[in-house]
Amino acid sequence: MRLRLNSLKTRTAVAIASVIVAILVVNAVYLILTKRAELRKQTEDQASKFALLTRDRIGSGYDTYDVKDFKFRRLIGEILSLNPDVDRIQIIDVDGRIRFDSTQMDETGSHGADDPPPRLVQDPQRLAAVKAVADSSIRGRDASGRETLEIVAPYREDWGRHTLSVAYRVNYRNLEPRLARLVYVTGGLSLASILLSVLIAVSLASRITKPLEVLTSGVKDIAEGHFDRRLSITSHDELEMLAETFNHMTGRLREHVEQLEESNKKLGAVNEELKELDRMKSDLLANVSHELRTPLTAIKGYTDYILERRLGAITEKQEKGLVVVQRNLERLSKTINALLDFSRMDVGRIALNLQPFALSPLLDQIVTGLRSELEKKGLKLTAEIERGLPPVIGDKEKLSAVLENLIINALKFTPEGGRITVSAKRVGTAARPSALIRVSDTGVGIAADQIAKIFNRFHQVDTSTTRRFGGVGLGLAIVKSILEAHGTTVTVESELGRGTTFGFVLPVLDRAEAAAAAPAASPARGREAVEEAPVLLAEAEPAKAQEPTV
Amino acid sequence: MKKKKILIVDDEDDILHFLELVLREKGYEVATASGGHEALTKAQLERPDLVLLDIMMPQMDGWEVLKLLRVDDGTRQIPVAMLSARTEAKDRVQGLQEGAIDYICKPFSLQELLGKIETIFSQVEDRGRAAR
Repeated sequence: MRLRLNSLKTRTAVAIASVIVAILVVNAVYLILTKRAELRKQTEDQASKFALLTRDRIGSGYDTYDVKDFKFRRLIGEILSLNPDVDRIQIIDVDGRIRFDSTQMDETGSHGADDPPPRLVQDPQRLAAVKAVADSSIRGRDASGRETLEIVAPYREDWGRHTLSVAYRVNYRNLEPRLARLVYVTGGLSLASILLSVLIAVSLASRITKPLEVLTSGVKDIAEGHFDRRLSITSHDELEMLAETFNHMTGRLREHVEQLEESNKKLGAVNEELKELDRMKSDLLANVSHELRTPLTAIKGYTDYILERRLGAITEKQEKGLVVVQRNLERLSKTINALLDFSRMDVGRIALNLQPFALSPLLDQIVTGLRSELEKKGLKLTAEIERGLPPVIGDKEKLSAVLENLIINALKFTPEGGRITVSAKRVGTAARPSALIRVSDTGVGIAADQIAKIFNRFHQVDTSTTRRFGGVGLGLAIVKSILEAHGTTVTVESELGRGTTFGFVLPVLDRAEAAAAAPAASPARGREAVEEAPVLLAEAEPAKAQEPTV
Repeated sequence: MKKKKILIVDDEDDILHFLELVLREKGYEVATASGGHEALTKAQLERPDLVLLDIMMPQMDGWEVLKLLRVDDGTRQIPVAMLSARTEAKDRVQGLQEGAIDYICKPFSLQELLGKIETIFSQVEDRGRAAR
């Protein structure tokens, strides 16, 4: 039987015990008080009767004998011994003079002129009582402070004259031993009862909380997965009901768990199958990739070689033809790349190789590759990269593809003399520093109802641009996939006839990290100065085209 | 200066011959192998200054060849550049981790290939000079 300080068991036990103890204590106190009152009343009644019975004898004795006469004293002594509660008898005349006091009895001496005059009663109440014709009782205290009762009984001589009163002082001190005994006995019994009641209380509390403990341990077992545990409480009451319900619940739980485990197993098997399929798809992809790229290598290689006149001289016509071959090879190559990229993405796993990298150099590279197309259309491409923009965090290769795709799209859909702008500026909070990157053009724009569709696979606005720039319509689908893999999305703002802006947000290195990485991030060519100005201008006349030189 | 010798390993004949043609023309000495085993043998015998290694080959793939080349004392010092149609980042990284000096994707432009070869040779020279 364990008792913890705050447990239900303890609290119940304490409650029960307290109640019992309270009852016992109240009882005992009541008993004692009542008995005491009773005893006092008894004493007082006896004293009254005593007064009634003895006053005449005392009175007549006083009349007959001298107060110092031993016969009188003997009389008083006898009378006093009849009632142990009376500890003093005084004889007082109606004027209030105390003629005799039993407590002064031991004084010897004769009557005479030396005797002190009789004392006068001071207390007005006593005085009144002495003069009264009927008995009276006065409560008071004796010299040691103990409670007393004084019965003043008038003495009438034979012919009815009242000259004296006899005052009996009743002292309750005889009660004390009796009361004391009572208190001890009652106290002892109470204590024993208290002890007993504590035991009873604890036992009762136990009875109540034991089923709860059983329940608790049962629940614990279930929580740990031992669904076979069953509770047995046979108290034929609400707790038994609880136990039964609990057992029922356990049974159901077990069923459910078993069902879940079944499902899990099946899912696991399916998962394995899927993984296997995935593996097969990867292998297929790798093979296809190889089979497509290898022939391309040979074709491209030889074409380049021949064009470089390494296999002998070629005519202009032959050259023209081979250039066409080369161009189409590029187109084919790009398509294959897009398809393969896309297939990989479709499988669902885009593994990102996250690293911080600076935007400007990347942009340079892309733009350099597209320079001829830009020139052909007379398009201006400006880069507005915020000064001091920290390196962007992401998969450099894939984000390069994203930018390339977006710029190529801008290229496709912006008419001659238009402008393409690539901008990057800091956004976000100190806790999550980011950069907003946008590719805007002054092109034909996209109709509002088309905007959602443009990211669909194989969506194409029209096939003429396809012929010129190549592409199977996967560009934007790939852009979306890659950006989503980075945990961000791409936004589109467009107005027909005005232009389009694609935007997306990427995290950047925060200040501290950027500062630490700075020496590595900026190559020896000193990019900071360039970041303020447009990176590259593509002008209509090739002669004016400039390269950033530092 | 002694002519640099390059060992080309690829199971595709067309590629093999093309590369041989191009590299010879450029002034390199060339040895060829169309499979893993042949590659290891030739590497031991010819002690080339560079190996261009294709990855996807039947029987023994480029990774295995690379591993064996690096294990053998005689061939460990020879720089190896992977040449492959596999363009995924993880392959490139794996190549570099396994000890290849570079990774060239197919299809490549001639200029790119030749440029990379030259870079590799100068890198090796620099390293050699530093070691001394």
